[in-house]
Amino acid sequence: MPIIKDTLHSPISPSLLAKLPENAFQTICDLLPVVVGVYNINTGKYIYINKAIRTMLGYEPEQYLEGGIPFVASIVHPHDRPLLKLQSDQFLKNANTISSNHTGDEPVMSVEYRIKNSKGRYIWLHTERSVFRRRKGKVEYVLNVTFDITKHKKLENKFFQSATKAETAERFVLAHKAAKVGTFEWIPSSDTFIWSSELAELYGINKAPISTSYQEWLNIIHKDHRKIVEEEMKSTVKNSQPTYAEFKILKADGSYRWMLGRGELIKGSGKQPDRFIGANVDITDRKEIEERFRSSEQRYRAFIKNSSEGIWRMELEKPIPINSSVQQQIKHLYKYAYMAEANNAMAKMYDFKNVKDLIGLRWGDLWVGDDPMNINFLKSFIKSGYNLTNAESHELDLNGKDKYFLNNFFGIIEGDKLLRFWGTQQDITDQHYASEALKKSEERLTLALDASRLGIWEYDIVNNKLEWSLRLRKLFGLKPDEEITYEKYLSRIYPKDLPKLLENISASLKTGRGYQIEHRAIHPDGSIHWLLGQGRTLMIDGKPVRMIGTSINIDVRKKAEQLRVKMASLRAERKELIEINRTKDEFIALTSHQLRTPATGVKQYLGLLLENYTDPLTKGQKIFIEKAYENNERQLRIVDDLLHIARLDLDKVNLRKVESDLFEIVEDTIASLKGEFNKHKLKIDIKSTEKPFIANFDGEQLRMAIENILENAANYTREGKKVSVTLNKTKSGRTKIIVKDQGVGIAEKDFPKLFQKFSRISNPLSEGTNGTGLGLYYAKKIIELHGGSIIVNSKLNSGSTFTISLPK
Amino acid sequence: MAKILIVEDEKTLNEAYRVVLEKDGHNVISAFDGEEALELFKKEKPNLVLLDIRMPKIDGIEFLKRLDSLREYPDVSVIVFSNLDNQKEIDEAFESGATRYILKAWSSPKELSKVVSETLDSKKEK
Repeated sequence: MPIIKDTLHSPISPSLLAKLPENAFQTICDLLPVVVGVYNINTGKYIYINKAIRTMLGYEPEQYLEGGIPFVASIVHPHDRPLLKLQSDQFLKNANTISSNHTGDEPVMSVEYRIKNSKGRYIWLHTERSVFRRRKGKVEYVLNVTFDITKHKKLENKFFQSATKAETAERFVLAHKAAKVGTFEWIPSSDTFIWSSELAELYGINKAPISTSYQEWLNIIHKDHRKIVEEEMKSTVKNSQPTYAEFKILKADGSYRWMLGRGELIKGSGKQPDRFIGANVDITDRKEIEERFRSSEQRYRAFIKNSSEGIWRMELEKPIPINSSVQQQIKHLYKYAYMAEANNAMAKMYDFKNVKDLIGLRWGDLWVGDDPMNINFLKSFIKSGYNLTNAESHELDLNGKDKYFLNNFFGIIEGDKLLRFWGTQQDITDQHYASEALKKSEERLTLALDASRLGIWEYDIVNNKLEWSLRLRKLFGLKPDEEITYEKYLSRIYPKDLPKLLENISASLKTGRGYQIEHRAIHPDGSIHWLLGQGRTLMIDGKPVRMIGTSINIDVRKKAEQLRVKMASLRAERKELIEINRTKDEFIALTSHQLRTPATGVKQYLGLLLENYTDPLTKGQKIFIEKAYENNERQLRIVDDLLHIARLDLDKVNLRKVESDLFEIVEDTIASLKGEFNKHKLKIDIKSTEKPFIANFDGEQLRMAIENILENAANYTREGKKVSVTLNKTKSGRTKIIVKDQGVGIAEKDFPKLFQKFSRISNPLSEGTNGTGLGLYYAKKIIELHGGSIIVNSKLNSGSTFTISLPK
Repeated sequence: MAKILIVEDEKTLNEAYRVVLEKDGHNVISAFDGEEALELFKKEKPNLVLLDIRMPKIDGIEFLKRLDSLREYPDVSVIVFSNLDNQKEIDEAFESGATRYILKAWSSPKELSKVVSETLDSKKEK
């Protein structure tokens, strides 16, 4: 029979118990303050559990009886389940092995574990377990007695904890010693400042003062920090907020140490006063490092600030995805990049007075967007993985002046995005322009050298040695290895140019001055070439020692010169001719005008005669005078024509183009020629596609032109025939005047002469014409002044067609 | 029947015009240069002037300008009788107060007579 431990002190006699009825057993059990439980090993079910389960765990016995082992297992603390099971299994195994010839006490198991009570709280329990066999042999029942050991456990823990605390405290102190922590206690009400030995050590005080006044401690603090610390501590005392302060103290050995002070107010209770508990940590080392860092940072910043190299950082409003195309990235840069930081050198480079003005500027404000140099730069930057060194850029400063920089660019990438980039740059604008200038002058020099084709010679006067360069030989048509002497040289000079050359050479030999002379050289093949020869004499003590010089072929230049001269003379000639022509025209105009006067006089007197202003004429006299009158009229007409043409040729005619009715003008002209046409017994008609026929022309001038053409038609058409005039407009709006006659026609070979001055094509018609030979010339000129054209179509004996075309 | 002043430096022409106009019954006075013309104009106060342009001393245009373009002589007609046929001269003549402009070389005696009587009639009608 198991022995029930603990609360029950007296053992119960086994034989007595055996004789008790079952319910008495139950009653006893129900009185016990411990849980008694019996369960069947085979069914796993509890067959008995006493009422103490209610008070201990808050469960009803039914829960155990129905739930059995599974139920119990579910309320055991998970951490304790494994051990409990292990022990239980082991115990049973054990119990079963000693079954067969077992006579003494059954084995007992003790186990401690936690169980969740009905309220969900874990209770520490101690179970004593034993077994009961019905028949000798296998275990059939397990008997449990369970005690609540929660309180017991608590005490245990407390004990354990305080033991650990003491340990920890010691460790703490040791740690603090190592970390140079000193603690203190300050009681404001009694102005007592209690030092720990550690604190004393920290402050370099050998003899540990146990307590001093608050002020005595404060005085050790550096005067710069004293006030702040005092105020901090006072404020803590006042409102219980913890103190935190960094301050310098004057250590006893005279050195200054940095302290980090922390403190809290512990409120006193009852008789106990308020206590300020504090700790100081020596942070001098840390401070030193910080200081060094700060000063180095300052130095670093100073370096950056004052560096002659431009140092800057650009931020991106929106990070650039590094996987987007180069084009997109460049676009993105221009849109989102802005200057976030820059040093003074940068400001200088862009001609800003203040660095601040640079901040915020966008990429496009500084970089010339379409300069291929810049585009390539950015492409390289992106393609290089955002790391570019020694690349040239072309930018604009504040005043729009072109600047060139040598740059290093560094991009900061995170993940797949470019966040920002920074860089350095040197101003190489001067070098850029210098190198450009140098390149240009180099180019010029190369060109000059190439083009010069100088031949060089040197004459050693003392030793009478003449040396010629290869090129020079070429210039004179000499073979590369041909011997050369002064005489030979002279023999190659064009005789006419020799005297002057010799003059120059001798002058140079006398005075040392240089000469330059254009002269001709004769090649062995007889060809003559122009050369520019130069020479200079080296004198030592007034005596010529050496002569050096160059020659260059100037054929091309000479030719160009000659051409220019010729051109100039031709131009002068032309000018003269024009002038002469002009003079001629003016002469014609003047003379014609002069001729008019006497011709007019003749006209008047013949008229007077014919019009009976004096004695009447005889029939015969009348006829003769009429003939004279006619010729005089012709004379006048020629004069008129000459004047008109002279004016045309002298460009004195200004057309007055007006929109008028061409039909009317032509009709008028025909009417005025009616007499003429009737004389020749000719019919004339006019046709027009539109009436009125509006066109843009000078009425007066065009009338004369048409008159001339009609007169011409009349003069070359036989009696009884017809002349027809047609007016129409082309699709493009041009005016067409077609004069068709049934006259004698014009031979094709005579076409060109037709419109020339005074040209007369033989007229088979016996009657002489009254024409001046100027009519068609004049007509053509007028039409052409209008911007139009006149063409003739004719066949001998079938008549002619004159087609005038005028622009809109 | 009017008083006509002929201003023409060519003697023969001046004479020829006189013959024509006197036959028509007009009172004819002759001047042979611009200066003389001005004097005679102011003295005789003619109804019509037959004016040549190209003359010595003062030319026809200047003669008209000196008469203030005939502003004060509304009843006087001036026929410019000249051989100058460029537009500039013609325009200037009219601007200076000429009534008509006739080309000498194209006028026969009959035509001269006609022009003169036409002009006088038109002035009368006004």
